[in-house]
Amino acid sequence: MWYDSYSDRLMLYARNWLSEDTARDAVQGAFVRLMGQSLTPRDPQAWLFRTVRNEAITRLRRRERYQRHGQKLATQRLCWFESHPEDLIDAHTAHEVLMTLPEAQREVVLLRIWGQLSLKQIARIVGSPLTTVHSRYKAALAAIKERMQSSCRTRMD
Amino acid sequence: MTRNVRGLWALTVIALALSAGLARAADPPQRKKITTRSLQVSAAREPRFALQYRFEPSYLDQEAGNAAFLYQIVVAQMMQTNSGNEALDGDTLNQWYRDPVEDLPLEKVRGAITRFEHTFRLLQTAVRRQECTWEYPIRKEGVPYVSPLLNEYRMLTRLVAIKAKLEMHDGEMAAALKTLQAGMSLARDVGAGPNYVQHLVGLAMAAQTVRQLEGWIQKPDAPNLYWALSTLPDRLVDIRPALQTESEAVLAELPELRTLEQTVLSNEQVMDLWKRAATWVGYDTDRPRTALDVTGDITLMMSQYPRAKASLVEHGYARQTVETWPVLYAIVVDQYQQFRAIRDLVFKWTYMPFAQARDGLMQGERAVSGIWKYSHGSELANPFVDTLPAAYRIAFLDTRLARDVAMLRTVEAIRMYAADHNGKLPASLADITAVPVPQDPFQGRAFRYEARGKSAVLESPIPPDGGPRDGLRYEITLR
Amino acid sequence: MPNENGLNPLEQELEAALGTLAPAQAGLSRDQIMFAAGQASMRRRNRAWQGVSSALVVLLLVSVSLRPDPTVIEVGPEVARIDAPRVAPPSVTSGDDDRGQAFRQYVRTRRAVLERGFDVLPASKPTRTPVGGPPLTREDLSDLLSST
Repeated sequence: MWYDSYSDRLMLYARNWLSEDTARDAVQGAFVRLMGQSLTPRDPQAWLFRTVRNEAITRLRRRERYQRHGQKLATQRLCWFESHPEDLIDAHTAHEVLMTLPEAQREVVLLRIWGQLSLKQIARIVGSPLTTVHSRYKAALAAIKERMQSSCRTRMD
Repeated sequence: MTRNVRGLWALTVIALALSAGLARAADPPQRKKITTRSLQVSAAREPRFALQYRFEPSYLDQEAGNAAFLYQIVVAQMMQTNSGNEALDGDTLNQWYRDPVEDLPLEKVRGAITRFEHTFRLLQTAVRRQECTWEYPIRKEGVPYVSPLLNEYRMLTRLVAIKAKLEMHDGEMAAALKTLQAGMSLARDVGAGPNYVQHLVGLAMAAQTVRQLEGWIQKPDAPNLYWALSTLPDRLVDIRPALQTESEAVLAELPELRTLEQTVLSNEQVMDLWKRAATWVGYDTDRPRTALDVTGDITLMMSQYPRAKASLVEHGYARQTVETWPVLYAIVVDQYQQFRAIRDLVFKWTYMPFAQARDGLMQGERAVSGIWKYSHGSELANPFVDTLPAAYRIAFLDTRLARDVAMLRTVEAIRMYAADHNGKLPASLADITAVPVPQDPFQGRAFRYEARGKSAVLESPIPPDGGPRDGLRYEITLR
Repeated sequence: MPNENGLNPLEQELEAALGTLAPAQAGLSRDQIMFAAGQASMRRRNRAWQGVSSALVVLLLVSVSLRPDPTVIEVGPEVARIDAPRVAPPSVTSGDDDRGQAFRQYVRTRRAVLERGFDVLPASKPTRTPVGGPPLTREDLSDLLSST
């Protein structure tokens, strides 16, 4: 059940930090750990995102390539979203715009919109106060709006 | 020095050393080492009224009230008196206590003791209280609540002993008995306190008071104290209150242990419990425990999961049940059950006579030290077990006091025999039939006794694990 | 009108629009996950605690040093109790630390008394100078008696 509902979303979240292959390992590891729990977590959804986050940060610190990961992610060819003609927003554009956000803002957006977590749950996962998370989210949305409008203008030019 | 002279010198030294060694080997070791005291005594029948002399206040002389409160007033009065330029220091007091009365600067000692008259009067009032309840808030504050006045009680006992010594020297036997009675009651009340430290202090106080009876029985025409000593309990100082508290001390500090086996704790709750337990250990150092110490200790405890699980299954838990538990909970349940088993092994033998309990007590000591082998010598294998007291040693000291009393009872039985047999000493202790002769509580059998004419030797050998002070030898001469 | 997250209508529309984007498929193999879970289960019963303990040690280091790090990795997921009444966690206050230290001191004292005798107990020293301070007043005495 959890696999069906969240595997894609967890993968999206993990790719905030990791390459595709490494993100896949991280998400797989999170599911394996969930199945290994002797007691079901009270909030499995939050538990899974938090576990993926921990795994990602661990791998990043271990590799010591945090500074370059933004560039590395930017060069990933695979879009984070599936592209459908009926989409209100272009998948690739959304991907590109998200990549322009500071990492902390991007994380909140991924957790809120695709992780479908409340800001309170997000605050617990990222370890920041609720007010901070709220500010980041608002700033991120403002930036997304501004950059998507700019992108539309550019394409039409 | 030439080579030949050096060689001769070396041979001489070696020869001397060998001869000295041989000489030592020829002497039975105990004759040189055992505590030995000479007693010059007179024959004495039991009093016409056998229970005329008692070491406890008469029932009708007792009053309602709690002696513990008054004892603290007595000590405060003593400290108030022992101030100023004439204050007695500990060394002087110890010396007056230890020296034979013949060697004391009597006028100076009398003057010093007279200053404490008010203290002694208050003490007489205190020992006549019907009960002594220390009322420490242990259930709320834990075992560490110990009277801060223990050393002051020891000082008071020395003053009482010196006072009795003076009274006996002056022939005031009734006054001396009253003084010794107060000293005995004080010691028994202090020693019945609810922790082992106070119990040990009470034992020492009782031993110092009992020791003064050697002076009593050497007085010409001293009344026979056989029945006075026989009415005292075998365990002169009650250990039960301390036993109760000490056996539950860990539960007072960690109340969740009381329901541990019925309620599953999370890993976080176990960690919190271990953090509190980890503050206890590291007894050999004053260095405060650092976060790293605590972390290292708890990491060590975590490593015990495989062994803990196997142990729980071995002792009846379903493997499936254990495997559903949080890992740390399984470890702490095993730790607690180990603790319960070893604690009960240690404490059960303290209720038995020492001669019968010795092997069991040693088994308990080995179990406590054996727990370390599971953790490469770290006391954190089981922090609960590490709080258990050295029950063997405490039982040993209890028994030593009982031995001292039994030896004096035996001397009184010998004096009684001599009074009934024309001033002759018994050839053996078995010859004494008028009264039961106590056994050596260390050995579980009769004391060693050897009579030669007007002299006899009565001996309690140094027990196994004991030192020179733990054996006692009376060289008795009958006037 | 802002919603419960404080978003204005335009922000809410943007949020909804972004939400229509479906994340790319993860490419995870359910069978692979099940196989890995089975393998882990065999190892876990004797070794999972190593990973837990390492992470818990990290948690412990932070908690005992009292320097919470907002970027620290949380590793203790909240778990629900199964068929067992929940124990309210005892509150660990500085008083509990003091009490633990007091118990430690008592055990040390007990051992020291057995090994070295009563000289290890604190002793009051007789004063060589007259007891100082003003004499007790009626109020002092009343306070003294009422405090015992």
